[in-house]
Amino acid sequence: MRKLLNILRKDLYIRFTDVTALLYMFVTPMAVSLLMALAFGSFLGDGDIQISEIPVAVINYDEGVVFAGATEQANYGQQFVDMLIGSQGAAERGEDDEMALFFDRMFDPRQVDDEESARRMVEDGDLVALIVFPEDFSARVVSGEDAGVIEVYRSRGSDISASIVVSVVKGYANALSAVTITMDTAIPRIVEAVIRQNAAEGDDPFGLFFRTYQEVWTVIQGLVSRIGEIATASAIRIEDVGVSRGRPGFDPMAFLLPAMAIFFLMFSSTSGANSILEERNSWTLQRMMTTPTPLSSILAGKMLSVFATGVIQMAILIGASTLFGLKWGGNVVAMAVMVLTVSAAAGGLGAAIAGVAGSPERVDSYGSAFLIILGMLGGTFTPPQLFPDWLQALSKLTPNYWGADAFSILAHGGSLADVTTHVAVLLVIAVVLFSLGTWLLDRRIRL
Amino acid sequence: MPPIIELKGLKKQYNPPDGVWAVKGVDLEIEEGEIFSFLGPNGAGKTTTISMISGLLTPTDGDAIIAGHSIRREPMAVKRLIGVVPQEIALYPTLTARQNLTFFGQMYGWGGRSLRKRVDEVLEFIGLTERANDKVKTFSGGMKRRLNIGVGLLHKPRIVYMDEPTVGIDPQSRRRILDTVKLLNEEGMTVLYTTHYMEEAQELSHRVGIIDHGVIIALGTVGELVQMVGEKDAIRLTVQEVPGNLIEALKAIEGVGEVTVGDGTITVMADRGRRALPRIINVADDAGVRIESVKVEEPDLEAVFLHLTGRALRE
Repeated sequence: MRKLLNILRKDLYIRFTDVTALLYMFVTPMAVSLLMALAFGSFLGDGDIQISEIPVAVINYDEGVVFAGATEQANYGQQFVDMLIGSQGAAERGEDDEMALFFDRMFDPRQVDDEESARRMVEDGDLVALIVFPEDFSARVVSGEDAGVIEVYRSRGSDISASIVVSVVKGYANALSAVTITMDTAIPRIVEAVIRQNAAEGDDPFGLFFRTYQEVWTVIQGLVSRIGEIATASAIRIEDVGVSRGRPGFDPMAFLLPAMAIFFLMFSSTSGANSILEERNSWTLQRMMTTPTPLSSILAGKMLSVFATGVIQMAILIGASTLFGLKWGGNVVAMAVMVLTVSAAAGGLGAAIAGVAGSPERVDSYGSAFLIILGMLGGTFTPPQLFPDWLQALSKLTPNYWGADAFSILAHGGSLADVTTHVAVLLVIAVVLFSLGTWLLDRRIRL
Repeated sequence: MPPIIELKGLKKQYNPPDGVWAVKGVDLEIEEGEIFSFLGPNGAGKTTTISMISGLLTPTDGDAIIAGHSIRREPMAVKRLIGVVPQEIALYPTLTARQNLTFFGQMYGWGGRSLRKRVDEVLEFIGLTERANDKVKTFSGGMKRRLNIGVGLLHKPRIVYMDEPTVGIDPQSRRRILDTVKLLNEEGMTVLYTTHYMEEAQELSHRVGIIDHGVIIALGTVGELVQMVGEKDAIRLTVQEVPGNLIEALKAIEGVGEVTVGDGTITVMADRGRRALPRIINVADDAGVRIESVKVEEPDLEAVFLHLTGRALRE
């Protein structure tokens, strides 16, 4: 054990006094992360970036309402659905309605019937929010006795995407309260009453029109003062339900920041494992082997130093980026567990790459190419949530994905219980790859 | 007293079953306190043999008994007794001389004050006390070689293997290393030395094993080896002219073999050249030849290797 620690101490000293290695481990990932944060405009913010195509579902149970004296049914739930769904393709159709274009760009909406599965999709992170209009929504809005309720079932946390959905629903509710109800309820009834009265008085058509217009205008002016009252009377109430468990919504920086850190962790861990092959070439490994120290202990010492380097690298990266205002989450225990498991998986991957490659030169060339592909698949440069389904499935084969996804969950207030699957997957990857890597390295060294 | 190093049918094949046999069966006994040199060209099997008896390579067949311990069965016991100085500069360039010595000392199980004291002793022995805290990457080739040796001596081994320790350094550093080897031997250390420089083997060794293509082709003291192959001394005379009857007159001298004439030189091959020299000079004088210079070249290990293999050592 003492010799393991000797190797660990020696390797850490060499590693942390090597300027090139330090650039690899800290400066580059920090710089890239900060550049990304600046580019996406969330340097100190929540970490949400340019948002578009927010996946959102709407269920409309609203049975509508028919006003007294009117023949057509008003259905405010369906009106929202039509507005949201109908706006899709507005840009392609060349429409100039700014609201429709905004909705078209901002949302990827779908009208669903299965409420239970839609709620599950929100919990799983496949949907940012579910908007539910109850059966009596329109009736309540019109009656003014009880507030109509729109439920927005969304991911918890500071996710801006979900907040945008809530804002849009609120905006619709306000507009509905202030204008639509007025137009739908008051004006037709007033016009009808005035016409009836004037017709009974036998006026000529022009006079009838003129008076009707004047009277209606007078009534509308009177009603305008009541608009505020209608709005503040909470004819519509938004029930904003945060999902207590499960995935946050689409939050790229919360994923990209750890993904970038893990990407560089993989490189430094592979470089650390590669030092076994480099030491074989420089004969310092053989020199260690001529001391009364079993090869297994030497390899264990080297692997311990790869693991410890990874832990230190991640801890410093997290600490430093937090100082710069980037968010990782506040659950220290869960973060520590994730740092340990991600470092173990990265070390295992490094050992396996070194073992398979067999020479420092091949690790540098093929290993680096492999790590870049792994990083791309794992979401280092683009969050996997934006990938097509088949690529998302591939992404889940990488330790990068599991690590970054877990940190992303923790950044949104998740707990250790929320990332147990991630921890388990990473530990399995670590054990399998460490075993494979050390077995291969042992075979390559022991001739 | 049993030999301190005993190699029994030691063989090594790389990448069996079709790979190259680097060592095809070496049997050898080295006594305690001896400087034994393996002399052979590059690729002869010297380093492979050293690697097997250091515990770095597993022999394909045979065994090595080092101070009573089998390298196959008790490798850790063997490693405690031996110091290895590899041909490569096996040092960490970004660590200082002291840090390198301390690390490898710890790997031998040393620590604390005794290690610090020993590191200071070794630094002094190899003449690097002044540069103890400088990084190895700033050292000259000779200094690196000396530190490379120092690491091998750190744990006071009974036996030290030195694999071509003077490769690629200047004559002054080489001289210093050869003196160091002699000094270690005077202190009682057994030295197994490999080289392809016959001068080194000749100067240092009590005995020499000439190795080629994985087998020892000759073994003995330098004198025994030279006599074994019966090489004659070469006597080179520098002359102004060569009369026609001189060659035959020289060949008639007892012990003289071949006589060849070159551009202003006559080379006379003779057994015990120094003893034959007066008669050769008399014959030349009688023939009216004016001798400007005389040089006697005794046979050396290079000649022995050439004689045994038909190749020069450094081919």
